[in-house]
Amino acid sequence: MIDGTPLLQMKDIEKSFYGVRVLDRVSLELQRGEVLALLGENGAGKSTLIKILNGDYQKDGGAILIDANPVQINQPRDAEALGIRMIYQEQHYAPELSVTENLLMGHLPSRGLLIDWKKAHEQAREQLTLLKVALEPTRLMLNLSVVERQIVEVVKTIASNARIIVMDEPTAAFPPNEVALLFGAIRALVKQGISIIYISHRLDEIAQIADRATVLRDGKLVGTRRVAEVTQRDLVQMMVGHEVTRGTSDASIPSSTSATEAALSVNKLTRAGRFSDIDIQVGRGEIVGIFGLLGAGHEMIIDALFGEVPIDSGTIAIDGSTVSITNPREARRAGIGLVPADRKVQGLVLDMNVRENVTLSNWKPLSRWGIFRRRAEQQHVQDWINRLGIRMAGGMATKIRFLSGGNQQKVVLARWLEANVKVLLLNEPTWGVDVGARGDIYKQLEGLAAQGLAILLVSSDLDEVLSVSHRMLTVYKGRLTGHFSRAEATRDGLLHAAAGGTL
Amino acid sequence: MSENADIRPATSRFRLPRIDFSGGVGLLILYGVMVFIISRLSPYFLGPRNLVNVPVSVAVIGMIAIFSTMLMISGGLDLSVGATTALVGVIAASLQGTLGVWGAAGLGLLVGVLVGLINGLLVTRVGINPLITTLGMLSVVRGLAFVFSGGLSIAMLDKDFAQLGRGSILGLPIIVVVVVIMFVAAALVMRFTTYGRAMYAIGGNSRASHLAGLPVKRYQMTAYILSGLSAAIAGLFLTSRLGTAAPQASTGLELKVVAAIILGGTSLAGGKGSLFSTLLGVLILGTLDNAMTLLSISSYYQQIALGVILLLAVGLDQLRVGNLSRLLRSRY
Amino acid sequence: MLQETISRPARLSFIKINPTVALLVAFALTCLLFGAFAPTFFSLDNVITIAGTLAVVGISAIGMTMILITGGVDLSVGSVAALTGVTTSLLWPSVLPIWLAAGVGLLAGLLVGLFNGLVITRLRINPLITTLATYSAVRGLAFVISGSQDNQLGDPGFQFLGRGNLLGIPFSLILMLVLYLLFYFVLRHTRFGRNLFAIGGSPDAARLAGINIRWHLLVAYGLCGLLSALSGLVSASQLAAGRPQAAFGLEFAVIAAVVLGGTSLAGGKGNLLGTLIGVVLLRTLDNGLIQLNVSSFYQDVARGVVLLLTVGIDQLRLKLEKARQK
Repeated sequence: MIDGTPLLQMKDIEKSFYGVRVLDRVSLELQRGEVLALLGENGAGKSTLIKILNGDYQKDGGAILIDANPVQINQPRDAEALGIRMIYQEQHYAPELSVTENLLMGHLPSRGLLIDWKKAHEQAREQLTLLKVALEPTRLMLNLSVVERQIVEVVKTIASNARIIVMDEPTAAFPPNEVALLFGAIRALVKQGISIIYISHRLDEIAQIADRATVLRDGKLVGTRRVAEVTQRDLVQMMVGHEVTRGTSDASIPSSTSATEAALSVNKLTRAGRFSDIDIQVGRGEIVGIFGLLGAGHEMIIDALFGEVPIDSGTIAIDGSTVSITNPREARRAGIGLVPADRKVQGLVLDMNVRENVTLSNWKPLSRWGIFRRRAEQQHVQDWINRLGIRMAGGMATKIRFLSGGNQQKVVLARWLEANVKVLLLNEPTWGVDVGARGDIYKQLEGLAAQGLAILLVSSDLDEVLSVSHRMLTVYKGRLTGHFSRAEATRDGLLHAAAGGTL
Repeated sequence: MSENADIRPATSRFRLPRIDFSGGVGLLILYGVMVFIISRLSPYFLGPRNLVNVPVSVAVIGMIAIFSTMLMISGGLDLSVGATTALVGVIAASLQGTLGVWGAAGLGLLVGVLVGLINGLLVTRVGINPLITTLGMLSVVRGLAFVFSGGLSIAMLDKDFAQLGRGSILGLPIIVVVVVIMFVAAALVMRFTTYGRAMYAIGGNSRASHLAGLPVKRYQMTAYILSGLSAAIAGLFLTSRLGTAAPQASTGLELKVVAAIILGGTSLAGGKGSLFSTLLGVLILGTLDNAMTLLSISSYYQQIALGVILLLAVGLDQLRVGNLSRLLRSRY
Repeated sequence: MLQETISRPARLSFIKINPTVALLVAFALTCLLFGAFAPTFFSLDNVITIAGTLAVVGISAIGMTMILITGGVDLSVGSVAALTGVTTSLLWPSVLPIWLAAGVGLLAGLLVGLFNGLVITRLRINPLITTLATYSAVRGLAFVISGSQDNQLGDPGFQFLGRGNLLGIPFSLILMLVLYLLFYFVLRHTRFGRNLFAIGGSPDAARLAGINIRWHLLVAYGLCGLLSALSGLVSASQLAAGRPQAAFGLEFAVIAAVVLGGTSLAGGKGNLLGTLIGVVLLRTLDNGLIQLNVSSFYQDVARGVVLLLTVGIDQLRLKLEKARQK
């Protein structure tokens, strides 16, 4: 499988933007028929390196060789001609068209002027079976699941004589632990002699699929290792340069609270076909984490608590009094806040600055008769910036789009803290956040809990749930299947319960 | 990548100065050039009498443009304003006998509010695209204007009422004073109040605003209602000024309003823009109108000029570094 | 096993009705309603009358359907139609024989369409703004070159286009149907047509697939201009004159018909059959009102109401479906 001459060599690549060096003599080697993981924090230079490879950027120095022959890649077309393909996490497809039409977009087989539909569907079927995917190509793209759509994306590439496929966070939008289909396709690709560069933050996936891993940090190459010979901890250390603590393992667990004292008390919450008889108690100062696999319905529970999903029966109570929540406004009034999963789409107004995003919907106390009290607004926001350690280049008037993911997440946090919520719901708390910045977020959450906030989070990151929660719940097919305290929880235990105990 | 793939690395300290050519410096320059050229072509242009004409003639469009701008910033669009203007005029004129001039005018205002309400409901509750909604309402309202007037123009000669459109207060035309007050009030609201902030937030990202707990639909409704109301007010002023209410009045007005707003630099997508830029847009178009009249150029040339200027202004903006151009751009 | 857990549950259709079928049913009901109240509605004469007036809106609607499929819009169709009529009427009989004059008129429409396409693809200006500008400018142009006057187009051959009959069927209708057939095939069974859907469905995917978006849009807008011009010729033929204010408001009637027919404003979805039914439905509505001796002023009101009702019901249905799926 892995022989002498590397398929792709990028040697001593240099790139600077406006005098700032982004890549400093970075080298990368991709062997034939291998899956190479490319690791590094955001800002480490991974995306720049890849963009140089696929022709979006031009290198300032260094060389690229394919099959030991130097090549020039000045524009995307050159990369395409060399058989380099990209798969992004944002899927681009025409929803109202069939799988066939999306796969063969622009190249539908025709007899003269008219399209040969029979042949088209045949070709599509061929391509799908090549990667061992059992999908009916006449189905419309909008009827497929996220996973199925990503597979179609992968299938698209092989039809185009790809030799090197770069996958950029391909599983980011996947429901947790549903990578099997994709990995099966990747293995089939490799068998065909195609090499893969796999970029991902998910180290457990890397462990499953990659042969070697190249790590970048601050624009420099840290090293390349065989995945079988390193631990995840080692890789993280290479990426970050120092030991990373994943939540304090010795945090004092608050004594279990009785139902009447619970800040959030959910009883027999049911939504036909989605989840049933959900009981959750979160005391003041507690962090409860919910873990579940695809289709388990756990994310919907959070949405229901926030009024985004209607419930058929069951009660929600805050500090002992029952509340009725049918939209986010009512949730907020009841003292519940939600930090959504996709903050750019659901959490932030990108055109606004930090200050405006923090105070979004918190206007009443900061205004008189509808007119803003400038100083009060600024003071409040500055307070949160200090307390949460939100970092930005240039004060609270900085446009929110210029902040890093972790700091953006803190802005959303600040918003709910400003609203003085009693219960904070989090959906994927560190999605799209640097490995290094994650620890910061965990520390913030623990600090907030210590001050009396009740926190309920949902995460597809098993380790995250394990390290940050005081208590853990697992959901399988809409039902609660497990309840663990920090002391008794193990990776296996949780996975087992989340899979319905049938692993 | 997942984060800043298209932005220069976070470590970069150098940022290109953002020269915003539309909605500001560029437009002012354009306006200055225009004024210069026109003053060369016509000796009357900068004369005292004419200088009053321009604000008066743009007052009606201005009234509507103010609230249309607010609506657009919140992500909405109202193409039925011209028709509403006509309908309100017709209703006020036809009922002046039964309800008295001011009663009829009051009813007219209610009608404007009603139209705005319906637009708002269709867009926020039923979920129809604002373009289709207001195009449909345009047809309905315009048709109703013809129905109620029987296709004829109706005179409105009440002396007191005529003062609205033709009278002066402290030497300034009432109509101009009203528009200026509206403008100042609206500008202050957009900049310094929670309502204005809400408009920008909802236009910028309605989903995030909803999830933050804002009553998005309620705010959007108010924007449509205000739009309808402003059309009604404009209709009354127009009728007062002309002395008659014609069912075909203000045909094509929505086009001028939208053109003025876009010329000014407000984005169709919402979340960005300002009343000052609309002011410039309205002034440019109004001055053009005025110049054409002075130079005895057929108003049809004005239509051509409108189209050309719109394309030029927006097109020029695309060719430069400007942060609003991104949003006006076609999706291709 | 794994497949089942991954696939989303089959789409629960609250109302399992094909939208086109629903439209046909609505149409049938409307006809029955009118027929009940106006005895002359179902007369052969009346049917032929309706058939004869379909072409102007119908032919333009083909072009608009294509444009909407790509995710754009063309507000200049009415102005182009007027320009064509005016141009033709000015060139005949003094400068050119009738069919050459008509040819130049068509060319004018094509040029406007190409201009729209160029501005949208090269200057990258939003189609709404672009065609709003040409809507104004071209209409103004029509008035200017015609001196704001109607010009006669009395050529009998030319009048056949809009008013002639072939075997008892209005020629304009035949022409329209032939065009619908032609473009149906283009949209459904040629690469060009499918690429338009792709572009509207996802410009990014289309670009990545190597489709030359610029070229396709240019052709699409050009065709739309050409078809609008053809509409203009039919209209001028029916009026026996080139009038600068002809086809005023055509864009609304056309958009209404196309949206009624199921084509989405967002792009990527559309069908010509639906458009055709939409055109017929709206025209029948106009005619029915006349038969009922309702003031013609109500036509605009009726059109608007029908559009809003239909789209509104469709939206509500979608909303219900979405809520169920949650």
